[in-house]
Amino acid sequence: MHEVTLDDLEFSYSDGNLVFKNVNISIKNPQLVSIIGPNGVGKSTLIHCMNRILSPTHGTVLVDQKDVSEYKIKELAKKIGYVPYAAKDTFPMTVVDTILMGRNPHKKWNSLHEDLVIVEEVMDMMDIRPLAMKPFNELSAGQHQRVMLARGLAQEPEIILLDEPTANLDIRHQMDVIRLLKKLSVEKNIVVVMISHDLNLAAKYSDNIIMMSKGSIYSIGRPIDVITAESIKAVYDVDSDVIMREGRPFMIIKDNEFIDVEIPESCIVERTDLREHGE
Amino acid sequence: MVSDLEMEYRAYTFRKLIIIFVFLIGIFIAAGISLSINGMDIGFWDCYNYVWNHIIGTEYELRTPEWRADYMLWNIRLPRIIMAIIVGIGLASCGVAMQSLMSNPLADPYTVGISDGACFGAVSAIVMGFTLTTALSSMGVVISAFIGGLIPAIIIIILSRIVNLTPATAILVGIALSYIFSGMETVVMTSTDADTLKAAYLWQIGTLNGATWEKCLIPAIITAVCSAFLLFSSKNLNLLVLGDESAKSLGLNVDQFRFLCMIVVSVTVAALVSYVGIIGFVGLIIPHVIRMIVGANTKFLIPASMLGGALFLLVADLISRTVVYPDELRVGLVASIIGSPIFLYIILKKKQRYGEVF
Amino acid sequence: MEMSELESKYRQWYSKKKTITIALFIVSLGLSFGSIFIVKFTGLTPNIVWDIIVTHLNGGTYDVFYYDLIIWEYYTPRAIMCIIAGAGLAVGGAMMQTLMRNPLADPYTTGVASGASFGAALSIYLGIAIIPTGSNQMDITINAFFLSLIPTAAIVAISKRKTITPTTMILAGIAIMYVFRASTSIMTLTASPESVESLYMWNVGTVSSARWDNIWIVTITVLTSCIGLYALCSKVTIMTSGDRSARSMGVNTTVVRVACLLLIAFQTAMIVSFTGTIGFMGLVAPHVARIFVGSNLKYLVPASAVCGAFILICCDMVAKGLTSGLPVGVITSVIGGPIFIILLIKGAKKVWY
Repeated sequence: MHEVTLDDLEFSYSDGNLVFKNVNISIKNPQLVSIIGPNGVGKSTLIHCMNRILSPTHGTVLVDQKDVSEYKIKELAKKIGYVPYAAKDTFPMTVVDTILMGRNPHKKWNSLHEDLVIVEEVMDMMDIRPLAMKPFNELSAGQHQRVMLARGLAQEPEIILLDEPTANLDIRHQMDVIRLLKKLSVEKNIVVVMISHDLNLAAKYSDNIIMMSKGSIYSIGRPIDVITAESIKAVYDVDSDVIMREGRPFMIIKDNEFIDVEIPESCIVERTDLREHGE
Repeated sequence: MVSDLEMEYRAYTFRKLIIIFVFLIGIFIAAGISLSINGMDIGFWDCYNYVWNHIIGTEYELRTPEWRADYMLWNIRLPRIIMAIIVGIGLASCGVAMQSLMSNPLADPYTVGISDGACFGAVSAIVMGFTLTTALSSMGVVISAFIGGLIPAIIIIILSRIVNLTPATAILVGIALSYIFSGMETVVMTSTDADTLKAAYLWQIGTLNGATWEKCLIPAIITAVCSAFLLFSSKNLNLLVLGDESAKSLGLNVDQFRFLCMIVVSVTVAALVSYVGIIGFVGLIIPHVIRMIVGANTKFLIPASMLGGALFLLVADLISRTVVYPDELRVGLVASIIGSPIFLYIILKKKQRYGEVF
Repeated sequence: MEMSELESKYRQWYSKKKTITIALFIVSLGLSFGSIFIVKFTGLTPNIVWDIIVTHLNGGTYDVFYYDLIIWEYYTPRAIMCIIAGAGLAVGGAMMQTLMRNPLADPYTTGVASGASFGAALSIYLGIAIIPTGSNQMDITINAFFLSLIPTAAIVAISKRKTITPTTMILAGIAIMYVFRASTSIMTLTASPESVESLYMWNVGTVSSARWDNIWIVTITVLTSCIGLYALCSKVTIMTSGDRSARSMGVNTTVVRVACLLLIAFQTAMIVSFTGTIGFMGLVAPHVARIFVGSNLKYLVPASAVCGAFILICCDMVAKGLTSGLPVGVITSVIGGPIFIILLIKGAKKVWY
């Protein structure tokens, strides 16, 4: 149960450009997995191969030991949920309607009541209840993101794939989202696979990390093994210090050029309404 | 020292220029072929010889074979070729402009209702008794068509000053105007007898027949001004595609520019339509085809489209003249019938997704 | 069944829309019935009209043949045709716009109308009938129907490809339309003025060819198509967020797209074969409906149907009552146009980006 296996996976675009090859990964049991790596290295492509949005040019993806290409689209949608990055709608609908779309794999023609119960549950989880009847295009970017997440959760998936779920969110909501994802993996037995650019957030909460680089997997394993100064330098070409905090690695960017730069006295930004009172 | 980047950029631009140059040669050849199909058995280079001679002022003795040839080539064939080039340039470049102005790949020069307005104007004139047989009369039709074509454009331009219209809404208003005018046209058509109705209907089908140097004059001037304007504005047209906000933040006065562009395009298209009728396809499809060849940068897209449009129309006119020789199949029809399958073939051949990011 | 506050709010939001839709439907039916009474013949008073209708409902026929013919054979089916055609075109338009993610789409976008026109031209100009029946009218209709399936087949074939985008589909539809239009025009060049006039009139769009023996087939087609489209509408709504998202939510995008196009084309072809190309309905009615009920197809489809029926019956009443027998297609353009523009100016911000 709850197994995803990628077997000798390879993907190239139709014009011949190779994205990645020789990808062999096995994810067993509910957990939170982060996929990290530089832009353009194929993280989104990898996720899209997992739920059959894209077909790999070679290799197979097995979910619960069954090849994904053998699943019917609706069946697969019951198992795997997908939360995209940045939503755009031509015809904006209300938030509730948008989340209701996620019920598609499960719903029957008269299941509106049951669907709404789940929608409500999911909206509470994402703290967007007050936005219920608002049109989608009146929301801020962060609210968009949470509605998209809610939609994915409404699918009641066993596996959920997220493309940068914490982008555009302030730190409060980033924390909320990733804590929620962690709880989902622990309490609801969901395999959560998320693409992230925030190395520290990934390190703190993930059970495992997949680090990709230039067409292949650079390393896979526990955060403490994957996030090292060497690997960050090799993959991102960024100098860093990695320290341990509460049992997890924490990386700090080092910039050898701007060290102890003095702030000139003349650079001033101040509140002008306080001056009259204070001085 | 020129950097690598600069070299690459220059090579990149150079390629586009080559394509434009190829188009020019194509036009030269097509025009030559068109000239040489003339029932008088004058070969390709001889035709150009005659043209050149006429330009430098050679005169022939009246009624000699040379005189006849010169007369026919200069007064009958050449104006038609020039007209084809003018209309091709005008429609294609206005098509590109419209697509940028409306940020919609489905826009064409007639989108704001100009074609239906012009038809209404022309049909009204024809029904009121103007015919196309006398020069004065046919001028009446032209003027009426021109005014008719401008009315919807003016309505949209005024509306866009008063109310804040998004491009999508503007297009919808344009379509509504098209319907209104074609409805009015129907009212006029139903009030008349069958012969006039047929004449009015036929006016709409675009043709270059009967082109004379006098007829070329006004379209030539208007198209020249329009082309110059669009060529100079290509940078601004590029900015528009980024979206109004981005364009403004890059220094473009969006409202004013749109206003100006709309006026130029409307006047040009209305003028062209008044003279030749509705030639569809060139304004919509040619920009798309050219975009696939030279890319979306209007700096190259506009000149390439102009030449591509001219070339296409020349070839279409050539075919329309020869396929049922000595009769003529109107160029508007030939453009659609030949162009569409070719276009379909092209867009289906492309492996990548086309049309997603415009 | 216990309902949470959210659920009751949700249901309330939509019950308002349902009420408006149903109310409009009843009004349209009423107007449709009333339109039968709009007669411009001397001697045909509303009382007589009422008598005729009652007589027929009781199974008999009215004794004055001419009156009976006009009211029962011509006007009554015509009233029904307005409702059916208006609804059918509007539903087709709503689905097309959502499917193509483009506010400019309408049921004619795939070129169906130009194919039908070409078919009609074949019959009117050249006397070619695909299935010759005795009547001229029937020939035109059959030709129009079969010929309009060609653009449909082409678009369906094109839309099966993986790399298709809505824009490509529309462009392909436009290209096909150009070919058919040009072919029709070629025939026009050599046709007699009278036939040109006939074809032109057919093109403009009229409901006056509705009779009892042809109304049933249009009704059945439109009803079945609309039901079919309605069943698909939740999937189409999901497809607006993009093919990828839709697939990840369990929607087989290719199948849904092809099915919708087929249904819309079939229904539109049937309507157009009988009425000619009544413009504007398929484009405008969904927009108007959208202002009242929003973009969710589940409510937009019925609302569009009702809007379309309402607009068409109103235009027909104007055509019958205020003009000397102008075809209804003219009225929809001339009156519908300005009203649409006013609505656009007022409501534009709410509905589109």
